[in-house]
Amino acid sequence: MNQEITYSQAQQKLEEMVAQMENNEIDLETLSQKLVEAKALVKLCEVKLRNIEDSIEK
Amino acid sequence: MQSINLSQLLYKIDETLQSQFGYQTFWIKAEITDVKKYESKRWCFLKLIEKKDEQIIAEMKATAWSQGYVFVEQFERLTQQPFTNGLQIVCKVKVKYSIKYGLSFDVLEIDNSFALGQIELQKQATLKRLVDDSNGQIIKDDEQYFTPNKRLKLPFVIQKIALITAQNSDGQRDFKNELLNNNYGYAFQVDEYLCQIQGDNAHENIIKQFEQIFASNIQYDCVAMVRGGGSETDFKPFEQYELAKLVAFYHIPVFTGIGHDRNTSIVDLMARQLKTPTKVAAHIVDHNFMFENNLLYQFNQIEQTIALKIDRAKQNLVNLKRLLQSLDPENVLKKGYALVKLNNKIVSNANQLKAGDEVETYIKDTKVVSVVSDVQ
Repeated sequence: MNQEITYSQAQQKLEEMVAQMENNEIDLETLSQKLVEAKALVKLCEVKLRNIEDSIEK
Repeated sequence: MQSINLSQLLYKIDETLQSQFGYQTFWIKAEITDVKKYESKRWCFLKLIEKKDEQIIAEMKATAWSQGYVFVEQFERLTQQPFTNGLQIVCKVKVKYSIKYGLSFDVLEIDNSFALGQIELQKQATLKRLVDDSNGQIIKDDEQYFTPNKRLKLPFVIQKIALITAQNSDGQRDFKNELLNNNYGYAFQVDEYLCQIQGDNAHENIIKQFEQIFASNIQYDCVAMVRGGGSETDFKPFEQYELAKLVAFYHIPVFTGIGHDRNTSIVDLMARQLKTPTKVAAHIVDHNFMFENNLLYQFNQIEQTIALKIDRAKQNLVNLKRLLQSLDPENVLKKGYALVKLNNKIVSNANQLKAGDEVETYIKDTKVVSVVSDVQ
């Protein structure tokens, strides 16, 4: 996963993936792999949010 | 040769004058000069003169004793100008003759409405001249005067101040006290340009201070011209055309606090008038406070906006996590569904199967291997 990705880019990618999953555009075979990717994006977004919060508090 | 004493002749003159004028009084219009006031005794000695083409054509000594002095005091109170040489007045006089002091008038009353009218006429003439000579830059609108100086924008924060005032005056003390001991701890640089701001040539001294401020090349945020204490009447310098014009076109915003509440001088009209030295200082402090307050408000707004945005982002992430959870096949299996694989590939269509195929069925935490007996 590219660490340089911005929060907005990560969020957009995540939303697109969820939409594809919901619309059954991803077959079951690749679903698990996509899920791992999506969870990594969630984690990345959470870290970025925490960093933003920390920098504002400083 | 027969002769009489001087006094005998003078008594005859006195008798003649008495019989001619007696206790009669006369209202006369004249210019005053050689004015000498004795405030403790409440007497005023002066000369009444009449000029034609700048030449004195008539002259008479006069005295305002305590009865007439009341009107001298009233004149100063009403006009806020000293009762001094060069004024045109209308006064009620009585002819008086003394064999020792000669002929003079006793001033019994002064028509101060005439004096006020004269002053107002002069003021209006000066204001009109300022407007007429300004090439459209000084504009009168509904008794308000808009000058280039008033149109200058104040900086967001006022820090460097050029103070024009009289040394050791109440105005100097009041201004600095209010400014430098402000409640917010704001720091100011106050450079003092001290001069006499009362008296006949005061306006020239003040103009020199404005010139010095210009020559200093210091980028002042404003000029504060303050006056307090001293005579309550001598505001004449602030009615002068030259000073008013200089202020109207001055390149730094000018505040006036020249200590009179009742009237507004011409210089006040050309600048930002705040009446008293304390009010000028308070206004400057308030101006800076407004800036700080606005800054804090903006900062607060930004903080709130960011907090809201972060909250929304967090909520969005929670929702996405929930959706991902519901889409995870592991969680689907936990609900009692099963996943069938043939040759390690998920069977999503029954057509993929035929009798005899060995399939793996995934149920929650369990894999069941079975053989397809029939596909219906």
